[in-house]
Amino acid sequence: MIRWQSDVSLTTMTKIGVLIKFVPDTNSRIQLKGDAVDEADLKFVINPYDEFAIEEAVKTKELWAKSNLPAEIVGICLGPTAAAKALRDAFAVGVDRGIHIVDNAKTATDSRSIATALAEACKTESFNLIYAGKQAVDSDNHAVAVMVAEKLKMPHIAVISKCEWTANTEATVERDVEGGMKDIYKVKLPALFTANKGLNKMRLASLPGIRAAAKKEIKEIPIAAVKAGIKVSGWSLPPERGQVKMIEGEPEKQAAELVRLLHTEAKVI
Amino acid sequence: MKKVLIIAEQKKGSLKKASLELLTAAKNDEVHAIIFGSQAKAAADELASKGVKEVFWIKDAKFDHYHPEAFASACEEVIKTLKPDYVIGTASSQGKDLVPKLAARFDGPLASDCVELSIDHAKGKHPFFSGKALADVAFEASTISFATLRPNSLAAGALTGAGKVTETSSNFDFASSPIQYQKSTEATSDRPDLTEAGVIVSGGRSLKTKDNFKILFDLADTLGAAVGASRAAVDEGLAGHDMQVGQTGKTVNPSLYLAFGISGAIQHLAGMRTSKVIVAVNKDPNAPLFQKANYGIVGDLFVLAPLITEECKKQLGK
Amino acid sequence: MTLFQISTIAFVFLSLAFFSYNFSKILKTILMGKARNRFGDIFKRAVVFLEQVAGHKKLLRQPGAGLLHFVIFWGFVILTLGTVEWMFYGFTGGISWDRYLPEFIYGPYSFSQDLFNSLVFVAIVYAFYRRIVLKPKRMADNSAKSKADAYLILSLIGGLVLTNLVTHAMKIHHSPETTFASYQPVASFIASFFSEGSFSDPAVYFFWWAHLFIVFFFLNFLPFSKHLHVIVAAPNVWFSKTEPRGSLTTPDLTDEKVTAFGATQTTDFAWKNLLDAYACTECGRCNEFCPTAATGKALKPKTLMIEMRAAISERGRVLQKKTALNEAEQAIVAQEMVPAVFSDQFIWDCTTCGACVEACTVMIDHVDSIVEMRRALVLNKGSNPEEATSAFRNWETSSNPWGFSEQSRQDWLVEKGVPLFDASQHEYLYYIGCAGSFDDRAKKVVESTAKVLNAAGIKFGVLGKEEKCNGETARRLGNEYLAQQMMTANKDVLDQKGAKKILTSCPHCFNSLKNEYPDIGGNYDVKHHSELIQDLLARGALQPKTKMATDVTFHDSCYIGRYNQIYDAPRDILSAVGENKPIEMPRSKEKGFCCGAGGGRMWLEEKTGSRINHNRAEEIIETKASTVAVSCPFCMTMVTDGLKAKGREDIQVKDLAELVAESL
Repeated sequence: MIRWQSDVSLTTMTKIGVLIKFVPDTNSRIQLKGDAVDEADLKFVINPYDEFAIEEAVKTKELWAKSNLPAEIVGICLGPTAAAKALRDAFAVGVDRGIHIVDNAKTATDSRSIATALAEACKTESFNLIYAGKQAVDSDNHAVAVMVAEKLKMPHIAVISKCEWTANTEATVERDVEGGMKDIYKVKLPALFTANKGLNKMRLASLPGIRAAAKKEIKEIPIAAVKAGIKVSGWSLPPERGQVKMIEGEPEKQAAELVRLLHTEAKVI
Repeated sequence: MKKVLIIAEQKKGSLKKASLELLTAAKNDEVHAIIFGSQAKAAADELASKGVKEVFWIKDAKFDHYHPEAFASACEEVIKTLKPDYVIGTASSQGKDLVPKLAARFDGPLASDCVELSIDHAKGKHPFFSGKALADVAFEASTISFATLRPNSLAAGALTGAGKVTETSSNFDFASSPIQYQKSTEATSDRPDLTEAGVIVSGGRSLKTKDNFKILFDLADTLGAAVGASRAAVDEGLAGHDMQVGQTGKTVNPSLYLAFGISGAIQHLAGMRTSKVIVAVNKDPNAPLFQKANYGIVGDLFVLAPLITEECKKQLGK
Repeated sequence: MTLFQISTIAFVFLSLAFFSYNFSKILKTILMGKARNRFGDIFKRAVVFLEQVAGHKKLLRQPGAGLLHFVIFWGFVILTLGTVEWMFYGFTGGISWDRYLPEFIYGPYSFSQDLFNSLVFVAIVYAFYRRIVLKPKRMADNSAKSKADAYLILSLIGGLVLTNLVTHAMKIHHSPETTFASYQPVASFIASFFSEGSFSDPAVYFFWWAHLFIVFFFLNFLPFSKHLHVIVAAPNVWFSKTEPRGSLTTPDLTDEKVTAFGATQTTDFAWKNLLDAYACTECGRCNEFCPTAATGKALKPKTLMIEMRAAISERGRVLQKKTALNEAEQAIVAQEMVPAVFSDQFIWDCTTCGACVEACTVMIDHVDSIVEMRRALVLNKGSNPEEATSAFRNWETSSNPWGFSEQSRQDWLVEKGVPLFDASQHEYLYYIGCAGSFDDRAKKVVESTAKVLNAAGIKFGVLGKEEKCNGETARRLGNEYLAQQMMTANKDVLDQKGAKKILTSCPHCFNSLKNEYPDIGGNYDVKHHSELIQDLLARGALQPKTKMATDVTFHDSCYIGRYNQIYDAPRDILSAVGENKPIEMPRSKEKGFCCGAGGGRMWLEEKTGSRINHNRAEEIIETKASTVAVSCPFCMTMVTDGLKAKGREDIQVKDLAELVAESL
């Protein structure tokens, strides 16, 4: 149960923002076409880490509803026209409406430009709380959400796997760090959290939810004037796994050879 | 010659090797460093001895634990004074949080999690799509640029000359911050979580008893790895369900997956096939996993596992 | 009008009124169910009706019980004539039909009554013997209430026929010449024990009334008894499914007016599902070969039906109340099937193997009810076992349950030079399915099949990476929305390629493409490779050279066997490529024991009870065969794992196609 904090006032409708990215499914095979990644056969889905963010937003809204605190969840998505599907899929599990920053020209390609554009959109909504995934599984930069928080001058805690609300404006979160350890922080809103695996499991959309999703509002806005500061100048693909290398010989030799290969060739030890 | 500020890290007073790798990225530049924590003296000294011109050591014990606002504030002060061209850090838990925040604060471009980085050439390489593609990244001209370097990507380096350590304080107001650090928990086990582990040692039904799994635990401890099991092993009671890797268990994505006595039928494969390097050890030469592995040994896992552990110990200097 | 007449008329009238009142409540409850069209296909229905109701085809599979029931059933039909005459006698104050019918009709009629009264009596004694002495296993878990119900019914029937015979005996004793004694040997025999002197009228009337009373007590007891099947079983058979057994319903999900799907509450079921529950007589045949019942899991088909009936009738009764509802009753109105009546585990336990449907003598479709409840959970609530979520996701994004990249589907096959399907060149589109596309073990089966097809000169092509998963398993897991999406996408590809004849290696693909795709407009001539190979062998298009010397046994696939009645083709194949005929396991053909992977359970954890595939593995081991042949990639996996768990990896598990390829 939420304990009321009598010295804090809230607007009548709290806004929860969720940053959502439309990325190629992690099972996709990545191929190059000329100088770029071939997007023709790729299947795009909501970034898996953003799913945790969406689910947490919906859970938070449900929790606050129990104390008669209405909240509205707004999804923010930057991407080409097709990326609107990410917002629709998010609507199906409980996001209320969305803002689609349309970027067909690939204007925002690095962390800074993406974060700037997202932050500009967020500024129009005055969010009390923003959830995001810890990283996008296409660019793997692990930076945008943190940058958005900074640009909004919102405190943040990233990579959380647990979030407990101790009051309607304060949460105790657990941040995952190296070695399986967790740092625990108490955070007062407004704040931004980025979600790690383990925070929750996104619910499956019910058919009524999918139906309702088709009717929810998506506001399309053009992308702010941003410029990428990091340019991708080329791509290469790692070598295919190829044939297995069977290691022969006496056990002692096999063990030694294996470890040698893992260290020098595979570079995993 | 650029002016570079590196954000160094220490653990229990020792400088992290990854911080020295940053020196390799900045090998022809004028390097300064910032390091946090009341125990960081030895680390700060080491940096100075390795050619870092000036090491700003934030000594206050409140900086013993990471606090995004506080650390960013302290760095901000140093950056404003120093005016470096580049600010780089390790793509560690802290680095992946602090460096982006600073990049946003100073509106500088950020190249994250580079596996190659050269300040001189203003470029690096960064893996996309969980490592399925490697991008060449280049820094556009900017007043100040930011980057993080993946640990173990470059060799640890050193610069010529020696520098000094400057004890610095920060006037960050912890008390009024909306973020209040509470505590850190120890890991529930010494081993990393299966789903996030970089190295996994996994066993099948051939281990025969729960006790026999010890030989895999030994190897895992040596490698700092997590331990997984096939469904058959879990069914036989050799391992707990939380260790199950596979279709109905956990999906894992380590850099190295060592499978002992696991045949590699599709149900298991579904849970670990994205592993970067797969090693299969099995006495059955027809085990399907050999088709999917990078390296394979046909042999007795009871003999091989301990031998491999020994070899790893030698390799890692343990 | 005499007192006798008045009292008979009043008694019958009141009894019928009381019965109608109670039965109409049941009828109303059943009609609360959703619509379902079971009114066409009159000819097909008539055939099934004659086979099962008149002919007792399924019942006679168990000869003792079957014959017993045959006698009681036909006895009842024939004795009903006598009951009508009995009432006529009462209404008219003592007139029997011999007044209007000539002896050559009334005589045999009397004999028929005498005969069947006696036969039914013998049957009742045997029934008591079975229950008390033989104690059939399938009835062992009946509740005390169920047992009491059964004994009461048997006693009432016994009483019915006894009072009938005794009444006739008394009449014969009274006036042997005018009562067709010669046509009633048994009644006469009873009469022979009566001492000299006639019975007083009250004595005769007592037995006459006793008979009438028992008849109508019996009738009025039916709505409260599991014996209601007397009334509803025949309709239940008549209204049973005429569509192929393997096809599940295809609800229209695009209808905006429908906001809830599947069966969340009792009234969400189709009326036929509700009728099913009332028709159940708790005989337990459904449990006999059920894989979950055999391995100690929550789900038992008989329990499903008994609990469904209880929930349906209770809620139906409350919903029909005209007065205000108290709190408990309101709770019943709000009650949902899951978890109030059935646990989550119960619903997800089912492998949809159809052994229950096959066994049920009143043609109940248990699987249909389970799937409806699964649909409600998944579509309305987004609730499903955790492990199913990743399978759903993978189907949606990668068109296969493991999440392999869609673009890599059948890479390996195309690399081997197997041609892509071209309608102008190829007779068959070989639809590989997900297992054959990605699972190393199943790939070997596909290779063998290709080898066999080439040897027989059959021209075929594959779809390569354009092939999509057909959606069968998503449908069985209740995710009808996803399933229809997948089915439509797959059908579009098949149609676009101009596929007419489709060959499959997987029984689940086979069943769906053949029996379910027509519902969405996909009509193809679909064959499973066992059918085609058997045909090729029979025609001589394949010449096996080396025959397998060691013993082989065949594990029937549920979706080839029970669902599509293909039992002989696999066995013919094995006889053709083996020196000996295949060994039959005790649970084979329509009694085949499921491997445990159907109903989407391949993707779910088996957390309770013992393992279904281990159970089957034991049976395989007992045959002492050195090879077990399968015809399904799921069975292949489960049987292999099961044998491994039992330490019998020496027993080879091979697909029929592999054995044929090896013999060429």
